[in-house]
Amino acid sequence: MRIESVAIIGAGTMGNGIAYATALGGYRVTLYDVAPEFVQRGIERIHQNLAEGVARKKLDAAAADDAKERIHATCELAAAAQCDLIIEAAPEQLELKRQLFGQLDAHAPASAIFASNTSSLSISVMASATQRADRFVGLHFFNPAHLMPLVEIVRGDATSAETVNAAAAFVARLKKTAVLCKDTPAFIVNRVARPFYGEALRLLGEGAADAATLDALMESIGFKMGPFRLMDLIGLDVNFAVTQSVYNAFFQDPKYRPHPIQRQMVESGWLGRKTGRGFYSYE
Amino acid sequence: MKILLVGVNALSEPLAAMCERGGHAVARWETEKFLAARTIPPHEIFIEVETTALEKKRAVLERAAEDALLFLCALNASVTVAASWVQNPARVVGFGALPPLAANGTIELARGLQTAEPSWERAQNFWRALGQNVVAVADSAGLARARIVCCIINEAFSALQEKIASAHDIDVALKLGVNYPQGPFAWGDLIGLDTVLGVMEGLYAEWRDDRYRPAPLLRHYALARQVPVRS
Repeated sequence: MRIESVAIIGAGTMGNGIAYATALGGYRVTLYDVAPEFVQRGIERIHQNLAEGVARKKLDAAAADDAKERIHATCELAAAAQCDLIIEAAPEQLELKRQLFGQLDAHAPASAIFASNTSSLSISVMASATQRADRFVGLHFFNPAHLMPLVEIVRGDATSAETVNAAAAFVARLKKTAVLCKDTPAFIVNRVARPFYGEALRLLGEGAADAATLDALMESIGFKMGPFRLMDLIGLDVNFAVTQSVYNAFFQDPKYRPHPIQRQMVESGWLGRKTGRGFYSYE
Repeated sequence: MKILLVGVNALSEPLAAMCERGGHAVARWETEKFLAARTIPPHEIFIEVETTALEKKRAVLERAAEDALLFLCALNASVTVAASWVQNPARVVGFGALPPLAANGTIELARGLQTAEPSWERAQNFWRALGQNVVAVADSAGLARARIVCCIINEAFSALQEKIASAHDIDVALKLGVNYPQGPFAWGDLIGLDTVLGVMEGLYAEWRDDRYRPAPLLRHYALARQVPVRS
């Protein structure tokens, strides 16, 4: 299965980051979103990130120009579907994604591989909305996708070995590192990393130490950012949503139980850096 | 000062070296030998690092000299609970650290309900004199860092047991996906899986909460000893 052209469905934060990496990997990219202004914003973001890469001497100017040339924008789903690989980066709503994949399935060439950038939904369930569950795979990029080196390749229950191999070859051409994961709730990273936040919140709730002390402790053993500084960066709403989704996906296994502190802060609008107030104040 | 250090884990050797550099005379004992010895050498400070089985920890602590300042490794039991096993619990202070232990690193200290103020002050001065940054945390099994890190390692073992990915890929994913200084399996090897299991069992005993149940595969590897983690 040779991949030359790639469609990215959704031009938001994840979508434009993936489009950036894909274009730099030498693929022809079609960036799709529902409205022209959304696609345009995504394209502008890619241009900004490319310019930044050149300014920081991470990219040479010619490579950045070539990447720009390779990206095309569209608001026609049927046109976007005419690619060898279609990566969906739409909002994390199962019904929306299933509908999108159903429509894409009707328009895309039979040989095209479908991929979802979901971080929390089942690949197998999404694949069941199409006639190509064997050519359906998860490609979970991490935010910011234009910089983060990891991609989780998620093998659905019906995904073929050829599809996994094609996905691995694609990730390698983006100069990113792939890890292979079974289709289970939260995959690898979002699951195994849960206690970093969950236990830190419990310690805070127990009054074991304050947030700054706990952050300093974790940083003292090599974490780049302590759990509270990191939650402030990610956004408490985003982190709380992931925690709840993992907790529910595992049928309320207490290992993944969210903490009342999270909900209280989210409902108070203390979401972290983006609102000026989280575990720390940024005003 | 004469220090008696009992127990062998990934912390014992660097701890002994750190104390010696600080000008102390350190006698190191392996747990079984210490428990079997007819007489134990005189000491002013007793450091316990038996982080596997609680009954061994208890037997070790019961043999400490009655007037020595007693540091117990609070990775697998809370200070108050472990101090309740010894004579004169007022001189007991808990500490927590994870390998690699840096010369100018950070040590967590916790006082039990029984810990007396002079012991607490002496304890802080002792570690500061060894170049450690002292951070006081509340008394609970595992203290802060080991609790968080060992829960991550435990979760990695539960993911491996379900064969969601290889051990290698899980390590790579956590290093590259969330910038962890080490992958959970590499870190588990460094800490010692018997100690990681000890931390989980300590947390489980303390909270009686299923969230701390040790992954069966973690227990298997801890008991199998020296068997490299396979996928």
